[in-house]
Amino acid sequence: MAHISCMTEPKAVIFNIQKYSIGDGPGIRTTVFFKGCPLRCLWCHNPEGLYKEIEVGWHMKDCVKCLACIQACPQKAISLKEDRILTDRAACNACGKCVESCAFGAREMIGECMTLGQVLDEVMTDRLFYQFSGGGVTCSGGEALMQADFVTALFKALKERDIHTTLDTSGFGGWPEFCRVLQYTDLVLFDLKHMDREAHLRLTGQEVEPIHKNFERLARMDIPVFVRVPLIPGYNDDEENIEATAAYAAGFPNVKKVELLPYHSFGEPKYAMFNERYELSGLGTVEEAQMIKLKKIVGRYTSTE
Amino acid sequence: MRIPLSNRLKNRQFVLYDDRKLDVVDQETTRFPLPVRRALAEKLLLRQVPIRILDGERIAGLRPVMSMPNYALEGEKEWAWNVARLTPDICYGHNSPNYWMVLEKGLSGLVAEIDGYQKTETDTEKRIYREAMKIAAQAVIEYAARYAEEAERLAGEEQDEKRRQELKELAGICRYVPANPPRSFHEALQSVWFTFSVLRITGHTLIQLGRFDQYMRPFFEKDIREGVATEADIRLLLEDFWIKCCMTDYLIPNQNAGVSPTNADMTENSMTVYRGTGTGEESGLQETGTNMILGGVNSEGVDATNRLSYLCLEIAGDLRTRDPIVSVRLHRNTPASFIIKACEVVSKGSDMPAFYNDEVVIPALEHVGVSAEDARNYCNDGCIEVYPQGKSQDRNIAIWVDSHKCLELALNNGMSYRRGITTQHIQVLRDIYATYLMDGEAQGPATGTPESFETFEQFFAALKAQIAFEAQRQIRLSIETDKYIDKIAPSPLASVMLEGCIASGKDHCAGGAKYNNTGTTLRGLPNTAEAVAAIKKLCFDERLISLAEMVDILKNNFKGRDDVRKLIAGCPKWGDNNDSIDGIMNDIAQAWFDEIDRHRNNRGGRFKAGLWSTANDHAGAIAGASADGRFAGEPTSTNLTPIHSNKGPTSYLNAAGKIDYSRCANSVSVDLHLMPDAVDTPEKQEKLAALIKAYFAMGGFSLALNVVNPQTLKQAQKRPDEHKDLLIRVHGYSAFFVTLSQEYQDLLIRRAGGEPDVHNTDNDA
Repeated sequence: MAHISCMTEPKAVIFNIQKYSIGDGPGIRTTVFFKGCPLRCLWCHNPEGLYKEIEVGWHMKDCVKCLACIQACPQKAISLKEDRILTDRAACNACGKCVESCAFGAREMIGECMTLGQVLDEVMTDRLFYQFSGGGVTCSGGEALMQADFVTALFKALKERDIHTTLDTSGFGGWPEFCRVLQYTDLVLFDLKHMDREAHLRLTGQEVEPIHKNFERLARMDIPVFVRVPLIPGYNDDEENIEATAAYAAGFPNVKKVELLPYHSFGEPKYAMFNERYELSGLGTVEEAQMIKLKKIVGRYTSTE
Repeated sequence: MRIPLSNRLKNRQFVLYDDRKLDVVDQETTRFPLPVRRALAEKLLLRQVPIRILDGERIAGLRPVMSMPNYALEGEKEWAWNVARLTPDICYGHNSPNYWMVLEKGLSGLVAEIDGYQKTETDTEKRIYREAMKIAAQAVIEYAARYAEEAERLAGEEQDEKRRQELKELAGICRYVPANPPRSFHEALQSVWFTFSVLRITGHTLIQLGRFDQYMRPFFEKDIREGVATEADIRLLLEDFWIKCCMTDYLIPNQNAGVSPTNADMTENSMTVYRGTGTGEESGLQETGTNMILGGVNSEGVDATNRLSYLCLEIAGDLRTRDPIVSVRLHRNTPASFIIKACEVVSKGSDMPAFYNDEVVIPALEHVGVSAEDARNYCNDGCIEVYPQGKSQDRNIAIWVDSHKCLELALNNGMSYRRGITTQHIQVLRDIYATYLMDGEAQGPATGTPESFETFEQFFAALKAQIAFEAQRQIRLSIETDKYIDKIAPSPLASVMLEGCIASGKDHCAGGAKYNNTGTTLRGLPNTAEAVAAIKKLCFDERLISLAEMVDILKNNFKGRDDVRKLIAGCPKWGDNNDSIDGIMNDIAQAWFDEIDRHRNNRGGRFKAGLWSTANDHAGAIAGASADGRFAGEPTSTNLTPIHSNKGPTSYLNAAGKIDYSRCANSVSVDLHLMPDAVDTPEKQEKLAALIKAYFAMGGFSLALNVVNPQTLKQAQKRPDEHKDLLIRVHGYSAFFVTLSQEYQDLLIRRAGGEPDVHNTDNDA
């Protein structure tokens, strides 16, 4: 597995810089997606953000099975199994030879090691749009806190340029790192995926306590927070959990609202890129009526919009 | 009883009429000068056109396009054909009459004005032409009287008391306008409709409504102030007007109509007027291109957005008819609420309104000689060209230069590639652009073989020379046509309603209007810029391929050279906000402006440079493969829309904002495609408003927004290469539509309110 040295100057592995983001904080924003996440949520819609390392994705739709990639790979990491091209994650060093070799655009590098200067240049191109809309930059992922030093440096540079900063986080990470980022953060979008300890562990692969601890520490810093709950039908959209979440969140004055984000299945096709199975295949979205009901419950505690 | 709007929007009517081509040429008229005969033909046509007042209608007048009675003598026709391939049927169209003038003076007032000029006029030609205009103006008054009689007749038969009163009122209105200055909003609306529809009937295409919220404003405010009407009353009238605009009256020979007429007899010579409404996508009817533009500054430069502007926007959003096509004008003092209201209408998915930037459009018009005061009264045309409303005959689409074709010539010493153009393409070309030569023939100057270019600059200069040469060639042709058009196809009717023609005593095609510019456009610019950028990178900067080899590859339509197409794919793309290609784009645009600026037409006007395109399939058909990766004959890009970029709206607008449009007086079209969920909440609509404001602050000229409908998504499923920019956005997630599996694409099509096609599974790839 490739380990990119990010020691000399601030660098980060980023898998997407999305302009005109209009769902991740105020105004027109650019969202920087950091690669790597400590959680393994069953419903994850950005599986390309799970591993910190640069990877190679495979698009079955475009692949004609010419096997040029297999021949091109110096690591012998690629193989054909039935009708699928498999890449051995451990053997791949993301050299990109297979991507170059593919004439059909079926192989794609996922993630790029970018310097602070590069990211800053890219996000600053939209400054006029931020200015007219009250927008700015959002760091998301994966989990941006896994590359906290870079996020801190980026946010610091943005604050020097008077750009609004938003951190979109699962809240899972070391507090010292989190705290450094928060020095330059205007708004936090904080996911609360499940209130129950056991359920949280089962659904996300991580304990909920460290997340709540960070949430409570954050409250003491008086940084505005929008709590976001991805509503996964049958997993965390029961009234009990939503009420518990709303009641917990509303207890902190820095929480400005609790947004309910209905599940969507658009992440599923991305799993095929890595020959991975999507656990929630076939799951439908939240019923409109249930959505209204849950919003009402949250509305008893705090704002939902 | 008032018929519900929804029913009226579905209205289908068949009106039979006498379709014989009449003739005004007889023993007596032969001795009349041609303009007088033409005026008599216009008059005869307005007598021939069928009239019909539909149930519940409070604004009267059909607008079928009729065939003009013959008015030219055989010798005149032969002469016109011989000198410039002209016929009596041709017309410039693409214009707007001066509604202010008609409303302020009435046609009787204009007739009196003609009489005034005639008292001291000594020039015979001008005397004759003014008499012709007088005949035409009176013909319109007479035409309105036919409707007055019809309304009276219907009132006599009407059982419902309320409707009888309405019809009586309508009769009174049609007696009064457009002869006289209207006394109420209702009269003004009828006057505007007559002014508009008689031009349409007499064959003038793409006649515009323009600044409706400005010339109607005094009547609106007066009626409200004096208590003559409430806003609700006005709204009902406006809805009637909207329905008039969206009803497409066009002729279908009865045997092809596919339905039987429900009334009257059919004769061999009669056809049906099929009245359909262009509502929604399901109607599939041809749109008529009737434009209205709201908001903006007044002639003093002060914000003129008013309550009527909002009302019109609301109606456009509620009815979502294809016509009138509504645009809005923005400037630095436009009320924020107006922009947000416009964005709300955008979200409803009828591709309206488009946005124009007063801060850039007005100076661009001043650049071609329009006074500041008149430039501030600009409106848009049936496409997107701009001109001072009611004061100009700008011949807006006279010249189309194909930049990608010029690039081909620059790469081949002034000659078309021998290969790559199919016989079918040649036929298209011969049909549409008879002026272009074909296939291997010299079309441009010999600007050098590929081997002769030592530097990129030399090659780029050759491209500019080819563009300049083609512009000059077409400009000469257009000037030649301009010399004769009024001699065979004048229009006293169009002239009398256009400011300047009465005073000058000249036809609108002969420089009679106050402004007489000629519109041009440069097509295929994104393709050309990407091709130039690729050539610069591959052939000059990195020297991976020699220019001569590249030309060979292009001549062979990339055959066996996928490797080169792959290299091209890695070159800078338009829309990515890449300074290198954006610079090339701007350089070509400025060279184009330089060339166009040099010329004057023979009607006392200048040439207006534009950057937009239409008929992209034909534009593509005439050219061989290009170094942007386009295969021979493939369509070129639409307007300035990115071909390969998928970096989203801000990136595209940042790029488009780098072009200096200050001399782009014939408009530029930048269009954005948005998924419905990008504008589905008030918060997102506010963000869209900010996007537009930011782009206009950069110096953007105009912006068209298209909220993608299910049909477009289905097209994208079939032709993914043309729809790479459709971005799906959910919080914290994004993907491009075309990269999704069919199942997910279908899901999105359903979410956009459509039903996915049944896919043939054998043919899935």
